[in-house]
Amino acid sequence: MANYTAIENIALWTSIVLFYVIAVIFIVRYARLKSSVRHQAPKLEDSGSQDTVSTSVKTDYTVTGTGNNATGQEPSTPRSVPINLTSPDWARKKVSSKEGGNTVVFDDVTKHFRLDERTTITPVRKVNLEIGRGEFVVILGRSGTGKTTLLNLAAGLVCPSSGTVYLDGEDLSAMTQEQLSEMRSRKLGFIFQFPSLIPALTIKDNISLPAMFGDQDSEQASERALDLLKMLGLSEKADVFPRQLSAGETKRIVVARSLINQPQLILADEPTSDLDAKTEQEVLHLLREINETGVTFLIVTHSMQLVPFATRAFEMDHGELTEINTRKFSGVPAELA
Amino acid sequence: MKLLKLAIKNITGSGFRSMAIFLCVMGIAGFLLSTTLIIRGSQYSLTSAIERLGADIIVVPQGAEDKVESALLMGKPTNVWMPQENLAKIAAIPGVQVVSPQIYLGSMYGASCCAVSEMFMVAFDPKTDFTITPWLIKNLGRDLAKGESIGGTYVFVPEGDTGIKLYGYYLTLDGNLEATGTGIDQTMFLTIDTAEEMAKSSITTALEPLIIPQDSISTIMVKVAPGVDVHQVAIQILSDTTGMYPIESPNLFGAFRNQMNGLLWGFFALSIVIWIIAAMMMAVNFSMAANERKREMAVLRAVGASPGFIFRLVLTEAGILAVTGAIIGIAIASTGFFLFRNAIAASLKMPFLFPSFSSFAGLFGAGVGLALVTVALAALIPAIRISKQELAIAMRE
Repeated sequence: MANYTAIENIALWTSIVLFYVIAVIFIVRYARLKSSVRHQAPKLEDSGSQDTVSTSVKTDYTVTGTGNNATGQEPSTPRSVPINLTSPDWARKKVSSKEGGNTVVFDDVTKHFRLDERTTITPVRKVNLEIGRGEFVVILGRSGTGKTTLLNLAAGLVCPSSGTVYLDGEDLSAMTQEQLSEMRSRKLGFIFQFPSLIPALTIKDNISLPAMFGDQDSEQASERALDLLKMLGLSEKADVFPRQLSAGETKRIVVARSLINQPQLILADEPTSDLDAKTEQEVLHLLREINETGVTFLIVTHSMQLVPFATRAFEMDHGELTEINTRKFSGVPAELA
Repeated sequence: MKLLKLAIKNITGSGFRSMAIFLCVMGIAGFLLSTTLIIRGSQYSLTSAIERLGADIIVVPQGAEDKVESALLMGKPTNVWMPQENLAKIAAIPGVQVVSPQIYLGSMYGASCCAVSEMFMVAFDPKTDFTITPWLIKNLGRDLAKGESIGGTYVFVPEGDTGIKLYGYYLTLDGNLEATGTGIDQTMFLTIDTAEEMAKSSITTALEPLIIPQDSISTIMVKVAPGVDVHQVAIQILSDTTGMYPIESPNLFGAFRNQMNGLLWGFFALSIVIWIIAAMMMAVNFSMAANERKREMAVLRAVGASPGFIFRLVLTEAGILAVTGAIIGIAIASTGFFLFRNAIAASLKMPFLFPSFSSFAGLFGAGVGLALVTVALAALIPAIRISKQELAIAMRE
């Protein structure tokens, strides 16, 4: 370039060469990454359930009684939990909470949804419910009875049309969106009914996602995510993507994600849907174990299999709650007596 | 994992969608830069040429304006003549500070010294010249002696030779002027004395003699006194003299500029249309992506993300795609233009000069900035919608 100085020419050519070198490096790395992901064959069977480690925690549950399980068969025989339970202290210590007190309170809560000018549905109707700390509450009901709406109300994802929802003594309706977001990151864990893992993130990143909004730094969150994966027997899945997991593995990953911020309350919507009977039992036992550390559970489901695990159970019908006797469904596990 | 890292992972995780926006930005940024370079390159070339000439007014024989402009613009030799006595007439015009004559000559067909077959030669008077002499003083520290010359950027000494042979007369090439992208780049400058000596020796040494009419000059370079209105002086020249026409420097190449403006406005309008279409396509893409990711964003909100975080996440993803796409598009377009600038200028048949380094850096920055703004605007409404969506409803979808 006749009108550029020597230094400008050098700078220009250096930039051009560097640019193309960097572009080639990126392309090669991306191609290699894609190639390695393609060659990881998706596992169709649960692989993490083969580890059996003796623990000090009682894990024998006897499921008997007149209630039918989801398959309509006789309740299964007791079995030990086939999950590695040598979890680190932080995951197993009791969640700090005040003595007694209620985690969630529904005070005469009603929720309407206006579908159009003429049609309004009321999935939740004058619900009064107090859930104490450490409880394992199951709400049964058929599809469309308002169970998910109740869960969403507890999380502040929707506001009640009338009545008040309190979480740890705080009125959720009085909070701003930012306050609700902060509250969810600090106090809540979610287990959604639908596949809720972010497809673009690895399993480790998915688990540590809520920690982004909490007070952990990324290194701490990463370590905790790996600990949780180890606890669930899925250590080798840390760097795979959600599409490479089975339904059971996905559910367990979602459970792990719900624990990353050590929440006080876990809201679970059909946590065992799409699971076979064996995997369902594994997940239920896991949830119960977590509950024993002091985490409160509010689970909505249509599966009777969860009732024996509950401290209290309700039936939801046309938006209204009716308490049911859990003992009707079980020989109650010793820990729950 | 922070916002930027999450945005990058989301981009790499949705390959097709991200690639569509990336390619769109890359294409539009490259295209806009190319058209801008053509427009700016032409303008820069003409400005450089006028600055190189250095005169406020160029007085040419009446009717020879187009020939002279064509010679200066395209480097095609021309022969125009007027009586030397016109020099004194112009010098007498009020407001004129300095006048200097120039003689326009052309080499024989098939000159070996240049990028073109016929080279344009301009002979100047070193005693009065103010166009070439300042360059000589700055770069050579002296005037040109007899037998010496300087050339435009495309004038060179043939390989194996020590000088340039024209009309059987050897000239040394003592320097090359900076590029202007016009015909000046293939013009040779020598003193009138050297030209006259060349003409004299060509009678016996050249196949065809070089003819310089007696007491004739081609053009007069005029410098106006400081503070004097150039246009007024030009009007006075026109009214007080006959057989001559003054061309003010800003109006130099006027006919060509008028023709070029039409073409350049066409480029500009096409660029705007393409930019608008690209922006709309990107807006549709972002809107579709937002629809597709409603549940994903609802999950993020449920695990603790605030509406502001979701908004920033969508815009960050858009921003990353915009910046990387623009940089790569501009880099590819610039590289192509830089490497093939001569071929492009030749095919465009218009003067073209690659802009200065700082000017180019400014274009680069403006291109990236425009891409960023465009993509941000395209992503804005989907970002607002998805950050304010009803979570319970989004989770059901």
